[in-house]
Amino acid sequence: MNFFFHTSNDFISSILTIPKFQNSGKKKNDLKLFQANIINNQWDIVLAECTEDDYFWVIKSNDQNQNTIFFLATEQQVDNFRPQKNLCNFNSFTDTSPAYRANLEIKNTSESYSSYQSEYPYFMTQRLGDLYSDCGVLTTHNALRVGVFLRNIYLEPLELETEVFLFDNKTNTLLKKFKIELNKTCYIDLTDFKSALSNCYIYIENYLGIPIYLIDYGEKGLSFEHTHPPHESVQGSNKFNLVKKIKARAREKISQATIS
Amino acid sequence: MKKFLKLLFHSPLGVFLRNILGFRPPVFLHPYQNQFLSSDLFIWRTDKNLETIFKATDILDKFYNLDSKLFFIFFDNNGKFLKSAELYFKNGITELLVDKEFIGISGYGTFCALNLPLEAPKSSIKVTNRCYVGYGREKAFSMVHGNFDAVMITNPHTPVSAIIDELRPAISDRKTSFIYHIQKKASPNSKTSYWFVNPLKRKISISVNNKSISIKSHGCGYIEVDDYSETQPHIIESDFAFARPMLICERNGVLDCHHG
Repeated sequence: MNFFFHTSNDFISSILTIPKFQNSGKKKNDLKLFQANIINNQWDIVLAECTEDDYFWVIKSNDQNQNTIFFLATEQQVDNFRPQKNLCNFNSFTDTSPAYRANLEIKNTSESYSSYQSEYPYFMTQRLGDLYSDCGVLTTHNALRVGVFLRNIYLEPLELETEVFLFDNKTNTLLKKFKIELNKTCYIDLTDFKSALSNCYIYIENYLGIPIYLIDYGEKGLSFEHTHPPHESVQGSNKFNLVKKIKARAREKISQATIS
Repeated sequence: MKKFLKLLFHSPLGVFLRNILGFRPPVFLHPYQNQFLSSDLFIWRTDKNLETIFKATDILDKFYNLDSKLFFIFFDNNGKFLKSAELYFKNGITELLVDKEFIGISGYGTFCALNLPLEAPKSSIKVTNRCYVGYGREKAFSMVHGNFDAVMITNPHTPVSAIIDELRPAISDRKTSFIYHIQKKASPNSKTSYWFVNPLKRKISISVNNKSISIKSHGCGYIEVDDYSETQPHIIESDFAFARPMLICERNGVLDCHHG
């Protein structure tokens, strides 16, 4: 199954559109859209606040739902869920091939807009690994604002703090550390580093998530896209060993560096 | 028993039988190669004053510690070879601007980008370098990651002069009845077009809500969607097994590119 989320902040709003049908056209009429938040260290699940038509649910971002997650389930599946429990694999409706697509459209204050498919697969909620992402492929020095939304969904209702390292490969320098939290959509402003980002990567220990890069050109447009996880760049039985080596190297460089 | 059946399913014999019997024949072919370098078949656009930016990281250096370069092959929208180009990486990343000056025409077409080793690799390599492209005007690009592994070469040390002949589909050319419901809500405020590429050696046919196009080998085409009187989602039908489009939406001169 997949979870869905918003990416909004003081200058970016988002509209999440979730289809009620699979890309084969199949619908399941007893599925409803639910939302979950962490309240008092427990998952609080209720019917989502949204608008809907025959084919889509639509949820606009607001101050209250920046960290909310959304998912499809039947009422019975949610009734069986006890709040003290971890998130579970409610159903397989959104496990399709080709992949099920929701749409997350963001807008800046100049009404420029950009979209991305915002599925967060259940299997990613089950583990905490290390996140590695090359910044250069989805950033530019030629924009008003550059940043990255980091979204983690972890099955336990935890909001632990963790550190994001921004490392410059060219100068072997740790440019900055940022704080983010589990189970939140966090935005990191990278604008101050935009001329160096083509050589940089971000690295986060004990955190899996989706890094979605934002480039804000004001009224000329927006860019909003995620980097691929490293293991999607190679195939074969040893691909996870290859990825481990890359992450170990990235971690070692950071441990040997001091902040510039 | 289940594990054994899974192994058999993906074995060369299993794949052979699946193809012969038409029982769940594989869509993607590269997982069954001993080694390969694959690429998306990206779309380039220089029509309507657009430019295309391409970005990639050095997968061979990062994962296999091999010196490498990117080799590009450009085709026009009819799949006719236009030019090839080579690019070297700097600090693990490279980018290429495809504008009218570079490609020589105002139009659109396709290209692939293969991450080639400079020397023959000593062990098997399996690379799916997805890369990133962006479309826009005045250097404001809406970025999107590679959509799928479309073409490949199975000898990573193929001489550059032989690559065009060695290039083959990484996806099945079996004629099929592919039906795909676009999971994005149509917007009357945006001008939307669905873009398709053909990585196969044969011609493919695609229709969206009864508007049809055919695309020659290595070519591309698009269907503009302008009928919002129907609230039903758009349906793609094709004889190609993975006719999943890239969507380019335009509103007030701002481009939004994403996967459909």
